[in-house]
Amino acid sequence: MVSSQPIPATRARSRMQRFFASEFFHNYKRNLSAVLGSLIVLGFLVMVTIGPLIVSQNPYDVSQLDLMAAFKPPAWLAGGSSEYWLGTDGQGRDVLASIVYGSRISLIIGLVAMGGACLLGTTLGLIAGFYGGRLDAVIMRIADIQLSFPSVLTALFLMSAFGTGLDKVLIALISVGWVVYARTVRGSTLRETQKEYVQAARVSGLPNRKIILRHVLPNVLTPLIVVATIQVGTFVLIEASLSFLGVGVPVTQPSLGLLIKNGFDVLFSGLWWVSIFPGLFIMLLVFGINLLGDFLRDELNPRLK
Amino acid sequence: MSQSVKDPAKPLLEVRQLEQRFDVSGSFFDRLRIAGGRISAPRRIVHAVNGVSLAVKRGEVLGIVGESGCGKSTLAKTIVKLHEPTGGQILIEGEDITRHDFARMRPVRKKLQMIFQDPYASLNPRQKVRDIIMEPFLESQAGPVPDIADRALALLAKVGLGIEHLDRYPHQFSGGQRQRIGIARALSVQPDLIIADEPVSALDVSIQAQILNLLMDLKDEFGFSYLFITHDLSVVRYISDRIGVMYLGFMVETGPTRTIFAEPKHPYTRALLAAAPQLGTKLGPASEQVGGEVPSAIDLPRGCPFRQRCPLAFARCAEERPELRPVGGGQAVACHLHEPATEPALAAT
Repeated sequence: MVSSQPIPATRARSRMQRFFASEFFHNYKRNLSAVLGSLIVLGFLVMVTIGPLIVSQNPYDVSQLDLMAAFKPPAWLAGGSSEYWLGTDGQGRDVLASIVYGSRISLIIGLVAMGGACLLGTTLGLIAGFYGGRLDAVIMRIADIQLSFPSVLTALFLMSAFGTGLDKVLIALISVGWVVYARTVRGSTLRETQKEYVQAARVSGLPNRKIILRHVLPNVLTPLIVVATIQVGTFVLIEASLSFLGVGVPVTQPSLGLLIKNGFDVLFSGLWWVSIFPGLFIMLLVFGINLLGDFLRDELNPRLK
Repeated sequence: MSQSVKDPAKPLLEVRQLEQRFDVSGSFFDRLRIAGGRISAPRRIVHAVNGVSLAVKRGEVLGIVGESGCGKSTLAKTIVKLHEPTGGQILIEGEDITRHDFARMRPVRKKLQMIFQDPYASLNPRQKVRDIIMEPFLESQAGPVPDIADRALALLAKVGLGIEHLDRYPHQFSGGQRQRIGIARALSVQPDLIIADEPVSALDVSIQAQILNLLMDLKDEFGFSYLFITHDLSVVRYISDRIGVMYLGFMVETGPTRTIFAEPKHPYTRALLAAAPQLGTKLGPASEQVGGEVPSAIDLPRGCPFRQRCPLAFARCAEERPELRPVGGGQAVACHLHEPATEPALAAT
């Protein structure tokens, strides 16, 4: 960009004020599900950042575990202890503490994989839409093939090929997640490059790289906000499925999905809390993200306005 | 403005037999046809510009008129190389730029700018005005440029905008103001030739006059030339020194504005002028009116492109395509009725 003068403090404040006075914020305030969704997501973010400081134990520090306290029920049931609100698992791990640490892993995987998929998909979509021709055909055919398999299946296949591990989960999620960005961005890019401001940039002698970064990219980003938000929820679910099937994260870095799997073996022996509570938290997280995503989709889609 | 005239005898812009075709047949499977038990895959080619020649001298305004779809916008975009021409030559100050690649076009871009039709699509909605209008200039400079803000301000002043507009975004402006921003952008490199593609047709009539006056004032101040594309005869009459009339991708008549309006020779030009509504007069005589539709640019008719709609067409028109030939007084017509053979006395230009 051409250098602009620094924004004085008064302008920064007015930008904040403008946001609170905006139609977007007005609609947000009146939309119960949007407020609920963002509160849930915010709650999870707070939980995974400062939660580990609050919960009584680090469930993966063996020295802090008490095997005598194994399979304690939640605090409000008979035999429960106020020390373990949601009970403990077979090794005496506090289920609540496990959930706090597990949510952190799940959210990090969801967010990082979303970022990676967004970067990869947007880049490929821009290239396909801008240059067209054979490059476009190759990229979009790969995307079509990708889309013809269910994403969990593809991820499962990739995981069994690569082996387990946090990095492999990320690779698998990015490989199934980039397609939606590539298709969205390619469509918007095709539309934007027809517009006269892109032609004006060409007439001015801008190289393609600058035209893409300065003119096309800023104008194709808005629809991605919605895709990206909802995808975090999808990724959390896919990762949980992989971990549940035993091809996800390693046991030393358990996500919410792995917690469900760990408790699943004893679920029908009446020790339901080990599995059910992580499940409820996944549900809550994905529910919150989807509420937020739905609101953003309605708000940012010009056709619904 | 630096008037580095290389060769004053050479026209600023010269276009020779320019041809622009587009293959719209799509992929092989889109082309596949099965007719009468035979499989074929015909190509569909749009003949947008067919052998157009023109020249623009320094300080001159050449207006190109024609109805929509006649290839005048394609002609403009091919000249600035938004499309790669499929045939013919484009010369800027005698330099053939037809096959110039990106790097060799860069110095030429400084001489050549464009004003676009739709002021709502021609400005990047995510750029501030200061960035929009300085972009061509900054791109033409090798290193960092001092006093960017002052330069931007001076440019805005030229088009009648002020300092308060510098940090705004395009959506905060009206159509007329947006077109002023587009004009400022074209001026930023101090070009020798501005190609204006229907610059006022998207504006309200009251704003059109303002923008036209601005364009004329700027031309008088900086001494550049316009290639002015429009479908509006009153606009072209007001602004042009010379006029070229296009039909179906062909240049059918050229000449000084006054001559064209006073003595249109080609039947199409006559029909075009007769069809323009004028206060206090009835529509032209029935013989000047044409019926029918413009033929498809995919299947060009044999012979004269206008013959199917021409009230004066005769046998030869279907056989032979008329060339653009001078008929005297700087006028040239592509019509068998006005061949030099039939008017030998007027042939010398």
